[in-house]
Amino acid sequence: MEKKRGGLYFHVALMFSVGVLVYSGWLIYDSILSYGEGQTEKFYYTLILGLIGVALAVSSLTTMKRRIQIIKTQATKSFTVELCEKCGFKKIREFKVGDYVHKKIGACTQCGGELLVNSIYAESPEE
Amino acid sequence: MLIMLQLFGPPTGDSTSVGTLVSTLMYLSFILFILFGQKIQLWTMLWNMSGALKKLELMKSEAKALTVKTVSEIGKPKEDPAPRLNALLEHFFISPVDMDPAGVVWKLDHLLDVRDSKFKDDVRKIAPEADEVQVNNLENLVEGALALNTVYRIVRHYYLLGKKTQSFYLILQLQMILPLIMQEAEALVGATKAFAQGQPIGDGIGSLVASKLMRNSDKRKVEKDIVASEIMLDGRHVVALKAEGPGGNVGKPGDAIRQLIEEREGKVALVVMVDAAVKFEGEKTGEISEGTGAAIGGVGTERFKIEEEASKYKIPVYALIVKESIQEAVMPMRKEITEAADKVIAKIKSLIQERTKEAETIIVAGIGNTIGIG
Repeated sequence: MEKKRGGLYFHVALMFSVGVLVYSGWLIYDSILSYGEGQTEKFYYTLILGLIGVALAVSSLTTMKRRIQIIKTQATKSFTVELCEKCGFKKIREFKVGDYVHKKIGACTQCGGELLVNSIYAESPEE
Repeated sequence: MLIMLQLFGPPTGDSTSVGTLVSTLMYLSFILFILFGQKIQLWTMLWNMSGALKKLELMKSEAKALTVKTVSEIGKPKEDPAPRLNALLEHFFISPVDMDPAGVVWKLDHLLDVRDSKFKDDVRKIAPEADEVQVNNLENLVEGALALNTVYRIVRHYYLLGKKTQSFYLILQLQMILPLIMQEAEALVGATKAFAQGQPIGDGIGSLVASKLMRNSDKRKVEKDIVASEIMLDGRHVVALKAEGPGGNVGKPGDAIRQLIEEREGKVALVVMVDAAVKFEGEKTGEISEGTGAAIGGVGTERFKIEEEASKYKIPVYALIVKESIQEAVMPMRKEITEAADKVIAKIKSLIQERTKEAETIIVAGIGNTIGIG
């Protein structure tokens, strides 16, 4: 429930920031048109408003991007590497509670040798 | 400036009312900022800190809930473990007086032993069905939750104190270190998850190296929670030691190294210590560096013992460190760190070939938490 609410806030904030960015872009465009028409005062108003809007929207979007990156780097998946030292048979599977490095797993399915947990490591999903 | 003048200068034509309004607002905001600038900054900082504090509270509660859940699942307590756990989470440690520093290391060492055994006993009580490995893991888990709880309490204390006194500089100090505190807190959350599952953490690289060295030989227990085994490496007697796993444990490597050196009456050619060390920003995780001295963290009691013993017999002490961030040290061991173990072993081999002769004895100490490493 908490996650869903957080996700909704995130999407609303994202849409709002994009909206502000688009509107600010339009304001800047409008200011250029005003300049062409000789309306100097309107030109300055809309230009400054547009630039402030762009700065705020970009700042907000950058913060959001950074937050996503932090969340992504923290989310890791753990793997256990099983290895038979006799024949070199290697199997990588997801880590499960009870696994530890150099734990004897049983007989190797390839040569009947001893299968051990060779290593356990964590990786980010994109790796 | 020109734009400002043009914008907020004397209004002309149609825009009179708008210009007046904008210039009045500008003057007002200038006055407001001159008079209340620091106050506004203080409110902004307090607002940011309140957000961070809420996040910390969430992390603390998450860690506590995970601890209660794991203790209940593994330890199968007959009564609710939460009240006892709450008391443990408020546990504190008083360092010995160091006004007269002579002998302070032994006092500190004794107090740490007392704390450690009290923690283990309490964990055993709240998790009666847990075996020794699980007790060690649960103890680490409780320590992680305790650290998060302490961080939260300290940050909340300064936040509330700053709010109460409206002290700009008090809040400023906390605001400056807040990003680092948050990083550490996030790492601690990761650590509690690793401890709950008994998964190796980045700090365990030293133990992993020693474990790989001693894999095919018999282990014997030396000193508190430390195991050692003798192996032959390029014609040298290598005594590898590490904390006893696979439960979460760091043991007392200082005492173990001293015992091993005393057993051999000081006839040890070299002590090589392997540990995880904090990298600088920009450095790669899993890089290996070689240095001199006792590579061991903590409060310093174990390092003191090793330095004492090594200087007594004039034994050179070398350090091999695997670089990782402070967060990576307490979070589940990353692939780059795991892969560094074989490179460290290769370094140890070349080090002992260069620095020692055949038939000499070398101690290789794998330092760090051995959780998830047998």
